[in-house]
Amino acid sequence: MFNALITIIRRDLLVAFRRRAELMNPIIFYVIVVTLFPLGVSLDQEFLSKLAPGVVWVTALLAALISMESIFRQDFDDGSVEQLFLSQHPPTLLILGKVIAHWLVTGLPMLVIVPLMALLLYIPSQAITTLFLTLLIGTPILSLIGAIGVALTAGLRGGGVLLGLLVLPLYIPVLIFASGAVSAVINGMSSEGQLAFLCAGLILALILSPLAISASLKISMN
Amino acid sequence: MRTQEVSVLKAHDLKCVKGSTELFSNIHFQIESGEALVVEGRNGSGKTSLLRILCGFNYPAEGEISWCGTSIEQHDEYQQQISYIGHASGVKLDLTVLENLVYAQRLVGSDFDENEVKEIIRAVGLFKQRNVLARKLSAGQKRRVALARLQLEERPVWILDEPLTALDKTFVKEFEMVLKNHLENNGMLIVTTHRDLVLPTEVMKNINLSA
Repeated sequence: MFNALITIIRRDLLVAFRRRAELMNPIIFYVIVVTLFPLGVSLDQEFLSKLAPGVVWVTALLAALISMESIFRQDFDDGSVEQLFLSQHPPTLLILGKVIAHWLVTGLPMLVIVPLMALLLYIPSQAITTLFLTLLIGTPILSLIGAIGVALTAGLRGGGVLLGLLVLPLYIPVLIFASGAVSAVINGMSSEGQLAFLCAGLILALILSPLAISASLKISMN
Repeated sequence: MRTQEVSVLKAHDLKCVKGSTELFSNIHFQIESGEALVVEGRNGSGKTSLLRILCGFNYPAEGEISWCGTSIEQHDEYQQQISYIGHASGVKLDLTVLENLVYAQRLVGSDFDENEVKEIIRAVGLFKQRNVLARKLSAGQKRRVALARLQLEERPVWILDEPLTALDKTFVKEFEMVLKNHLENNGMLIVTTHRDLVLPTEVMKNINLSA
């Protein structure tokens, strides 16, 4: 069963690698938006570092939303979605694999560029680890929740607008806890509570969202 | 994988409604292992819908389908008996022919054997193109990749939606042999086609949705 998970992750990574230009979009969006803030708002160090957690996380949220749309679109076009349900392995497992692969190509790069963000927004060094941790725990939640929305709207024309309306409200708790954690550290407080909430959210999403995605895909296939 | 037991797929009083139009109603049939069902009908008569209902992707508006006596909605393993090729054939355009088949075989859960995969690629005449991206193949060649997948998955029930589209005459002949073999091995076949498919008449049943 574990093999099936690895197999689908490898397959999706291979497909992603062959379409890498398309996948760069959300990351480029992420970097550009964050870069624009110091230019557009203020170069004041203290002001920026206060703003930083919110900026990084709001941008991450929107980048995740943009990137999500691609997760099942091709599978719907080429008929692979049907094949997921005919597999010997549970569809939920394969779906989890797809989300993990998608996170590896869209969420992970955000973690890699955290030091750059920190530099641009004057995030104090003691908060960088927390920012990294919140992204590490938070972005998989965004992928898991986003995939439910995409699966639901995949069969619709102009599903993109609906996707935002459906998914963004569900992203808000992640935003609050994640940027709250980073702000807390910047202000010299502990971020344990917020991080614990994020972890709980991730575990919940890991367990429940594959079921929801599978059910949503079935509805969209109909 | 294949059992020698006789399986029965039975459809009772099926009705399919798309939007507000009724596509078909009152469809009954029963096929057993080793038999083929050819679904005929005009464009838009609901052939694809019927096949998708039989796969368990869609639900009929009325009626019931049973596999070996159990309704397919309650049957845990029914979908694991099926190989399905629809209009979208499940071929990933960004993978090569070989990769497509290797991953398909692994995901479907049958034992992976690279030589077997290569043998089948040779049989469908794509050995030279095995490392070419599916995106660069012609429509007929893509179809061949999908049909190669069928043979690798080794499932007893084949549900094929217009499998002969874009195939050349010689390959259609070869593919008919594959289908015959499948039926002789106690397989079941449900197929829609606008072209004539030559199958042994004694195991072939017809159903016309436009009638």
